Amino acid sequence: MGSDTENALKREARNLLKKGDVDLVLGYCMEGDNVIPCFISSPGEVDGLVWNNRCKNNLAVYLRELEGRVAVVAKGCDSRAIVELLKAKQVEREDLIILGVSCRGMVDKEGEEYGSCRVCLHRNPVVYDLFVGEKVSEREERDVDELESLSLRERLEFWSKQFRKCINCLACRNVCPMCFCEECVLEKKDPEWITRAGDASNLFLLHAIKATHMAGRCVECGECERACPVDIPLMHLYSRVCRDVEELFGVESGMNLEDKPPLAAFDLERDAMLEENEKNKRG
Amino acid sequence: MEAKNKKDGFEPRIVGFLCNWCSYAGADLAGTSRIEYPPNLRAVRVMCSSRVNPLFVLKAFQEGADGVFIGGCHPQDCHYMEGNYYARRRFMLLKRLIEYMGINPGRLRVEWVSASEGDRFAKIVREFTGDLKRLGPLDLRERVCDGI
Repeated sequence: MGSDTENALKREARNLLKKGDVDLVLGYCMEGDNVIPCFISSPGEVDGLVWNNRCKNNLAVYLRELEGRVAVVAKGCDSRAIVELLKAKQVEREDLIILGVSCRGMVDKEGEEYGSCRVCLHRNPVVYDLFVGEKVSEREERDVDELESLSLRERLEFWSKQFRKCINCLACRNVCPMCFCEECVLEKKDPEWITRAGDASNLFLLHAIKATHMAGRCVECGECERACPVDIPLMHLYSRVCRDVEELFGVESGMNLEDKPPLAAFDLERDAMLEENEKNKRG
Repeated sequence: MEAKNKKDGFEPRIVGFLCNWCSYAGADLAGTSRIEYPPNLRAVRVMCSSRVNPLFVLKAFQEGADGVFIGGCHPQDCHYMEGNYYARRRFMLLKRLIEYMGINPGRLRVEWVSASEGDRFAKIVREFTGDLKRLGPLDLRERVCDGI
């Protein structure tokens, strides 16, 4: 990880703050051994900024709550989340200055690359105002999902086992840049779709619902999986939904500001053909 | 439990979300025309097939439905011009999702039935009930909780 990039980042951040172009720089800093998100409002604090292979957090999650003009450090997944937020009109483009950086895959404390980074196809930022550092080459092909080879019964067993671990803490939702509903259906009391005092089937329902909500939104940053205290492989589920949306409707989330939300759009002729195909395959 | 049910002539429980303008009227016509079809389908009238949230379908499965049927107007015939187009996309996706999670996608059936297609409605319900009998009970709650 080039400290050149880090220095360039500091330089840009300092400039922006000095000129008064932004009120805040959103980036990463060290806290002990950890890299954590930080909010910098004066040029004097800029030296605390870091850029290395531990900057895993998706900073887009904070953007909705910040006021004024913000410069945000954005790697591939952050930038895609920003695109989705812009599409959903959750942030204003003119309030943002995107400091694009390329990512070589983030690693945990032990130095092991995160699952979401291992399979990532978009390490370079999709949108940016200023680019810092060097672009990296992208992987071309996706890995095959090993769950695809399981039978229906085995899959249900697998997911049931995973979801039985869930403690309904909703960390996966809280950390997700795409979960911005004012009122979340997972927490709704009336009607109480997910019964808190209920059995494990409620957790199955919870994750199934969340997966439907991720369709056409999830940018596969993997924050949910990292936040999960019981290690549920949530990315498998969300990635599958993303692939389905891509295969069916030809839209990859977070890649293009002009894309319509795939479930709030239709294409008469194409959808009729799709329907026919799907019916033949899935009944 | 599964084996027992099958032996005793398992009767699948189907929740049917029928759009007010076409499928519900189609079901009504089947009734007034005295066309016989299995009583396994419990009809829920909704104003449009796009009113049906995937959550309803999943909740029905959780609460013991063996199959879920969604009936809407034929394409280009929606009372609200385009509601069924959104429903179509939504449930194509949901079918894939439940399949990935281990529920047979054949347990979710989406059909476009017009108000004049009483016989077709009855035929679809007969077919679907037969399909579900072959698939057997879903027992989602039991299977998720006990890992059967």
